[in-house]
Amino acid sequence: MRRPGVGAAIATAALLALTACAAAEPSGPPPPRPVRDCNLTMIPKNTDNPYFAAVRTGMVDAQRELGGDLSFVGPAAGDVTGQIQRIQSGRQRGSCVIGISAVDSSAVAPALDAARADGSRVISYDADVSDGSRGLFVNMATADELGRAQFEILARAMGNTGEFGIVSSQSTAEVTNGWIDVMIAQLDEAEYSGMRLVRTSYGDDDAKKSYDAAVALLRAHPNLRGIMAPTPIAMEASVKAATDLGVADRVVVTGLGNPGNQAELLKTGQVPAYVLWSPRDLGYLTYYAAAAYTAGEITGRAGETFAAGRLGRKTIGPGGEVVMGHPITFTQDNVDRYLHDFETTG
Amino acid sequence: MTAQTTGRQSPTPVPAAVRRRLPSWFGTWEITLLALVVLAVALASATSPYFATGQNFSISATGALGLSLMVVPMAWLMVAGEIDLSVASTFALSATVFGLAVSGGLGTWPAIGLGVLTGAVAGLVNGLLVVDVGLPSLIVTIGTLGLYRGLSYVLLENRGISDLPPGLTTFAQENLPGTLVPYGFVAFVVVAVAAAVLLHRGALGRAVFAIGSNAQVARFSGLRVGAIKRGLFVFSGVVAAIAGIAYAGYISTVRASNGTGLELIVVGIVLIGGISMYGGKGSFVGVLLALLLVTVLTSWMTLGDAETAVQYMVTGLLMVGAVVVPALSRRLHMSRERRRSAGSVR
Repeated sequence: MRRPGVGAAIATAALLALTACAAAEPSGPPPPRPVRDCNLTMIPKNTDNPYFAAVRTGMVDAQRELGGDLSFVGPAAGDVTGQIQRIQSGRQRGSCVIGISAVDSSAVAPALDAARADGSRVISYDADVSDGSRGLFVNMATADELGRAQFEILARAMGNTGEFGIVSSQSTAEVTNGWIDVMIAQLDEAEYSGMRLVRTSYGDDDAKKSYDAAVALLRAHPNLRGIMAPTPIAMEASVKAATDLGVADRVVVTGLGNPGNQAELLKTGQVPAYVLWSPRDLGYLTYYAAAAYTAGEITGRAGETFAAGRLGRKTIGPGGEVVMGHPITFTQDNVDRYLHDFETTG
Repeated sequence: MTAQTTGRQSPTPVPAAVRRRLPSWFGTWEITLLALVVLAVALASATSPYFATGQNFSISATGALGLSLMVVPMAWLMVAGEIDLSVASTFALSATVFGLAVSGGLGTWPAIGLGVLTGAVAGLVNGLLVVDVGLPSLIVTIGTLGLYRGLSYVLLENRGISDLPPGLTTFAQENLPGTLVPYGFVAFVVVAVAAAVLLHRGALGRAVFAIGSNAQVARFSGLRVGAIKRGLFVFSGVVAAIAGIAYAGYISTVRASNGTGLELIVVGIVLIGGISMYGGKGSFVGVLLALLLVTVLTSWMTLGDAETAVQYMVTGLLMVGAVVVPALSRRLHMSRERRRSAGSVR
């Protein structure tokens, strides 16, 4: 006897049994809640990354000063579905604040909107989300400054002349694409008219792919004088590629580096200098901003200010953006002084 | 008591009677899965206050829509002894075509039509290569996995399309008004019940089982094996297209990277559901229970802030278990029989 109808009914009944509860009640603007009584869900792009481990250290610093319950959770590899799951568990826990460094600015927006409708406040840090889906964005430095700082190291090392290529992260990464746009705009300045960008390729923040992209770039352009790598993984891979092909003496590599695990690149002289900011301060500032936001001290309007502990008072700029400071250019002389900012033990 | 050579006529009549009463679509494996689901639900409810809520059902069911839909044709294909590893790439390609059509000014329904047509063609190509050229489906669909995904990247490059019709995003993100039952869940239940009834009751279902058991015999007994297999691949492509478009609505974004790696989870669920890799065996109820089990476990682990790596491991263990446990029990059963028949000879 085959009775498939009954079988399907059993399975669907099991699913429907979970729907016992009533529908959600309508929601207004969430009431202020002091951070001490709050759970904060802070979602990094990926957990398998010393950079975000240092961000977490900064958040824990701030948590010690302000109190509150911090859930720093994210997908192991940067994927949209994993981030959406974490947003939703924050929403279900009733987190006062959900903070996110978005892998994809538009794809996480619906989940964030749903969490806001349920009474969570949403902030982005490190990498922004679509306008309207967050109240605040804690930015490490402006895209303009970050693009210029990286470009200047390269230009100086190349003597403002010659061909260079870019090895970036994902072709869809909006933050790095923004810096690259700034760099390309710099080329129009008379000072840099001797420099020429030959190709932009993408290593997807994967060591092997970035290495292959750098090798392809070096092989295709024998006159190449420089590689711009606006992401730490691509920078390390490009250094290795230039060394392996025996062209390290004429090709300069720079871009974005992480002193937490890449101080050696500066000390051995393989990279003249690279740019970053303090991830620990970024985490610290994000936590302070979240605390001020949930307590109702700030609402995300331009001109509002809040106290950010050891970083002093910070002002919200246009578009709900809080800019932490200026990028730091690391060299072999100063890198050791900053190692505190990259500690990964929370 | 002389003829004790077959398992059905075991010396104790009670288990034999029980076994005979179990229908083919609800056997020991389905009972095991049901027990696991009950156990997982009980443990999750006991350990997380957010698990057994209507909201969690709504969130989990909404998020699982794309995956759940693709499980349906995969179950049919694997019963017929074939496999389609290109589903997640078809998922992305169809959504890409749909997204381009929408941004090109086509209406919602024509754009969906175009997306679904893309899926049908992608499925037909698989079907023609497998049936008419005579290549193994594993190899063909590994090839088209890369081909369809690559095509999506060629069409979209690094762009994302976020301006999607509100009707689609509502369908893919929201619940029936006044309830916690997502629209997508209702759609899935309709598809799943139809597929279950057809597979276990209809002539087509019987034909698919016959083909999976022995395609030669099926052909000699007058079944149109080629046509049915081709049809199954088209079915797989069409459903992957619908799933891909629905997922694009869920994250409000079409990107070439949508659903990367999803095919393995789909195949994993079908295997956990007890459908044999070699075709001809299994039940749709088992597959639905496996889908339920994986969804429940994922939700539970996410609510508990488990690392993504742990989530992969648990799903992996279940898959290995689904293959090993039945194989072991069969071996145990056979050795017991051998001993028994040896005893009766003596």
